[in-house]
Amino acid sequence: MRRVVVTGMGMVTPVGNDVESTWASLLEGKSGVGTISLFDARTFPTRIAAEVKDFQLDRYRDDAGRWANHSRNTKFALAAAQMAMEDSGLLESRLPLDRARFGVYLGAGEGQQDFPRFVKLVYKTTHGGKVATSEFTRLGLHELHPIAEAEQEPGTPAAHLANVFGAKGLNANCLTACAASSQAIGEAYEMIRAECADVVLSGGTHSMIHPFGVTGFILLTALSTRNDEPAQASRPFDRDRDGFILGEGAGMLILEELEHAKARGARIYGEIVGYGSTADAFRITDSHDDGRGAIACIREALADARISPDQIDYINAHGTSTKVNDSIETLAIKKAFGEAAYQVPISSTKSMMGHLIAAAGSVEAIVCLLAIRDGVLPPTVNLDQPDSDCDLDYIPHVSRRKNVDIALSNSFGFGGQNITLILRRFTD
Amino acid sequence: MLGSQRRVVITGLGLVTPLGDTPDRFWGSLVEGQGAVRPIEAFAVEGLSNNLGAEIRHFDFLKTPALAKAKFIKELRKSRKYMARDIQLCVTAAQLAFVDARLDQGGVNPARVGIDLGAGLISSELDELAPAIGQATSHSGAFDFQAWGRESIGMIEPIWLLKYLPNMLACHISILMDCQGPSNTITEGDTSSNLAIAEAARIIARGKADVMIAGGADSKIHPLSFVRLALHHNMSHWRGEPAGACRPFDLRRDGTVPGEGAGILILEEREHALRRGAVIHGELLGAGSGCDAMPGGGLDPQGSGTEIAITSALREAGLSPSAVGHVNAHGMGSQVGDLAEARALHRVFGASPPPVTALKGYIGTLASGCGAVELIGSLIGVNRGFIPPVLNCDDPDPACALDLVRGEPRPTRNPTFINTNITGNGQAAAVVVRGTGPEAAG
Repeated sequence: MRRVVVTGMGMVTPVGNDVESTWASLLEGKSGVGTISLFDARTFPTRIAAEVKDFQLDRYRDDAGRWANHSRNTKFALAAAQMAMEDSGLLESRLPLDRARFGVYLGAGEGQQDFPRFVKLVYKTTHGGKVATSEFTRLGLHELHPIAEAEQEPGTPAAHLANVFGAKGLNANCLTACAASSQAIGEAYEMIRAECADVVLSGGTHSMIHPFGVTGFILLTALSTRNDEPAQASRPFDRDRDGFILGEGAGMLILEELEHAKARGARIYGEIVGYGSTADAFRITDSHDDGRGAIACIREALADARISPDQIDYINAHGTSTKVNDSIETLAIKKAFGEAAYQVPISSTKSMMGHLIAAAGSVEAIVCLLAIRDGVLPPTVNLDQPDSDCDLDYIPHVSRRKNVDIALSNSFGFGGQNITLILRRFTD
Repeated sequence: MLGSQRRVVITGLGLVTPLGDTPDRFWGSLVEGQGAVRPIEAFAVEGLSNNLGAEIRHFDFLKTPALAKAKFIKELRKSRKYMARDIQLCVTAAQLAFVDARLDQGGVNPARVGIDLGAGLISSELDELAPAIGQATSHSGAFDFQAWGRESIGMIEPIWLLKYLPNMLACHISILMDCQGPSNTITEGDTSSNLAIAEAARIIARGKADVMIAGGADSKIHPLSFVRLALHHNMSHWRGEPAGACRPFDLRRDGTVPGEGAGILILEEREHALRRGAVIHGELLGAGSGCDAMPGGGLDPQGSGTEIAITSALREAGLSPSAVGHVNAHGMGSQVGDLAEARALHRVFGASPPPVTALKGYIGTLASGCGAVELIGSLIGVNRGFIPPVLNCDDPDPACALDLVRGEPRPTRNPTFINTNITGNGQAAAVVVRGTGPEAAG
């Protein structure tokens, strides 16, 4: 079986605009949560989020002007992918890259609705509470912007990345809510194993910190309302957690077939060895009460990696800070790991970065690879009083030194989407 | 095939389309040259190059016979209010396919049944937002975020967000039909369902599932979708008979029209299918994907992404180009796109590409659902011994120089075909399918 390694990484997150600064913030336990600045959310029931700060695409790419009217998703994706490509050495590799064997598989979210133009158009064409569609189409053609509309298609960032990096091979985008970019990495790994590609740029990008996004999650009562203490609002596994915090950003990884990576002398961050994907088949709003899908998913990834639970040195939890997720995830880890559940250190980096939704899993996979590289585990901040049913080792408050050979990352999405990835230190 | 000993066959088909919701009715329309493109009835359209679309008329979700009889009908009555039209179309097609495959009787391990669908960007119904937007807008037209936060949010349905998430097609189906295996949703415009079918087949080939519900659905019959098609200069300007608006490979082609529909295939590991005595409609032999990857964006006029997708699919299928009986092309009906596709076919197949068909003349573009529906169109054709014709290709563009199937279905003895699709961004996906031919299909 062909082996798949990671040879490049890039990310833009609420706690840092590249890999190393994000990693340093996470190890310091620094929170990226604050009052929403992207729009006026002062009267919203939730008015805090983890925004990316001081982001400028021209710090990463010379052609930033070309992307001025493009979405936040696209800009984050371009920056993270640029860093990952530079990091991988593929941009100046001596070996020519076979473009037809170089693909893109993202789990990018939908772009945000063009809020100012859209609400104006709806307002102008509403009569008696209903939209007059003939007016909407007539005015829409002049008032909506072609780029802003095209950018809402979730498959668009995958095309932009293929275009700028010349990836003529497989091209796909999956969107499975909060599991999307983990799933993209898992499927990209399978595509390389199945000889459909040698190199795949994979990951995710998403921002839902916009009026409709925040509105949607408020309506689902999924968000924390701890508005006066933003840095304490995301508190996975804590007794007083009250919902998740929206984050935004992108994570990009270069997945490469091992022999291809070795032939060009690439630096290898680690190997992808396990992937699990299951459906709860239960409810669109809640996880299965007994964690059925999550347990099966973790077990499937362990079986794929051919390792036992006691070999896992670190779990990067989905850990959203909602009541249900953290309890069910804990239950699922206990069921899938047995006694080993009490030995394995677990943390939720969402306690600092918030929830990057479709992009969450890609960033968290990178965190696992950095833990393997540096032998240190990021903490779960704000875990002051663990909930009664959350009784595992969640690395509270401060980071911890520990050698990590194998790490596991969970991602669970609305609708009962479960993904588990297992990453391993590379040994030949 | 698919790099595995585990072969992947097709044991169920489900269609909900503007041409009908059974393979017989769908095929009947193709044979008779009955396109579904007409002035739309769902809502009024003005100020665009036309108001044409391919609608599914008289769709009454819960009264669809396949669903009215389903054992989950009670659950469905409750969950329907969370379902955008795309979801409703897809749930219906999935149940039709499930019944066609005789999987509705149970007897299959739910942990070994997965789902992989193509789905689109689903737009909110405008009237769901209009009162909330009105509440937060002053008479001068200025939008007030503070009023939105205080008053408007509470005017929207609590479940609003989930009604429009693209993965909800797969999630509702997995819940209703108890599919606990792998679940994925591909959102890449017109290539989505081909990519999903390919991925589903690979999941079976690598042993992670025995049965996969695969395909896709989309509805572009929405005012915002009409505006977008026009904004991106993809909307037909046709002024003649409405049914002639979308004209794949015709000299006078100038764009497409929005459509809607769902196509679902039940993919199954061959031994699993044989053990339970399932009827086999065909086999998935290989798949490939590619991208034009133009530095400045858009389509490659030379069709390089399509060429890579088809070449990879043939390689995976272990077939030479000469083994292909016909190609079901994307045939969007645009000047640049159709010519690019023709050039790609000439490079893959050399001097004489196999016969080519394309079905968008009948149904416009079903976007994320088009690959699955078009694949089924070719499959039910070859299993009757015919290649379906292209509608509205009255004057084939000599620059395309293709052997287009026109006028009436063309008899064929070769049930192997390629189905290929591409997005406006140049992202292409192709699958190679072998039907059973008319003898076996009976």
